[in-house]
Amino acid sequence: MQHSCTRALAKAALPLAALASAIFFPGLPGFATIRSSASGHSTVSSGLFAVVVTPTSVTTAPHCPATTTRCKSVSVGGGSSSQLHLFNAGTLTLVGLSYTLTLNGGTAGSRSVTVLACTGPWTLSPLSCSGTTTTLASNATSETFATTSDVPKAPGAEIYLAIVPNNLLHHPTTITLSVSVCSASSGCTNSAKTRQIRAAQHSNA
Amino acid sequence: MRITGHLWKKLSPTRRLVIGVGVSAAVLASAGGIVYAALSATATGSTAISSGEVSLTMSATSPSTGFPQTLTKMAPGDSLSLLVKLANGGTLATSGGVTLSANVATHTLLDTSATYGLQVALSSCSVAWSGFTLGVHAAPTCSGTLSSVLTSTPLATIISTPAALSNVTSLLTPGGSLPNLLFTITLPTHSETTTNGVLPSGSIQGLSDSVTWTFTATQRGGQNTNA
Repeated sequence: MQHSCTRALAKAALPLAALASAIFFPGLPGFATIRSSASGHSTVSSGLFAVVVTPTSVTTAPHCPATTTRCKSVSVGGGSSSQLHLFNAGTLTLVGLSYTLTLNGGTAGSRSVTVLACTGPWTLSPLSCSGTTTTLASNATSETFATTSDVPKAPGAEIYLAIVPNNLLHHPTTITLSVSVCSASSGCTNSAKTRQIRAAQHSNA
Repeated sequence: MRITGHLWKKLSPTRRLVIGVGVSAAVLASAGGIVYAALSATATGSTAISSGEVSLTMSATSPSTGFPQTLTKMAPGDSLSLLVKLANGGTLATSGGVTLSANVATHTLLDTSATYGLQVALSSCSVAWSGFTLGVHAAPTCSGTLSSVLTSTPLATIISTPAALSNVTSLLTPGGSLPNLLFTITLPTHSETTTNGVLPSGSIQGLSDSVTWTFTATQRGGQNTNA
């Protein structure tokens, strides 16, 4: 009984002592201090750099059966050309693009393609384009290259590529085109280590 | 009523307690009455006491528009600067220090990655900043004395622990201010490759953060005055 009374008194004394200390010694550590705050708000978002190629690969039909020893020659634009569409689906302006071209099927060394770029859609047969055309790659087998031309630079911009088989193709050949955008001049995963988005900029607001 | 020892023993402990408290209260009350009647003279003194105030304010420094601010489509390496003035409009010294804290509504890699996420830096110039032109992509320069208030620090770090600011002596005294504080938010340079429109894993692209930045000043330590 006596012990329980003592404990009760002790429990009551602690908050009383704390209250008295807060009143008479406000500067002692452990008690509330006065603070004032000033706040500002900002909304920050990062951009996107992305070029989408559609389709990513095309398969060219053979010009003549594999058993045929002699095929008739095919000139550029005269064979089974294919078209790829490149669209800048990002929000950042681009300055360059890395293209990786891969050919599979047929006999290596006996096949190559020419890649033509146009600002408008291609008509494949016969091959023509109403826009400005440039040659992106000639007699390419498999390669990776970077370019600052033939690039849909502005967000929403687009270009069209024509893949034109050059040599005689006895077998179906699959041509795959991959497009990469790199954000810096070093450390990129693609082999063409060129900064391909607009240079960093400082804004004053 | 007289409670004999026999009767007292018969009472329950609760009743004993009630009676004891009642008797004690009666004794104290009568004693108090006696004292009051005896000490009728009084002596008084008065003190006028008012509490101090800590008031930190922030405003834009022209030509900057200050906060709030929106910046979209940041590319790695991009930065945004704005000018603000911090002022101690209170009556108490703020020698407890000034900190910068931040919080965001929804977390993204911009505020969780200390490596690739946003960073903030604060600098103070003794004179107005040069070359601070709205809409022009050029970092301002300080022709006077340049002081680092906060070295470039990840937003992720500031969210976790408010950053203590340096070189804010002018803010410590009432009426003091820091008029040319350059607040710079940067998205660090970062190598990232997007292939066929597919973002790499852990990309910092296409993210958005709504950040509230808070400067907090703390009063000087408590002190005893003998008078």
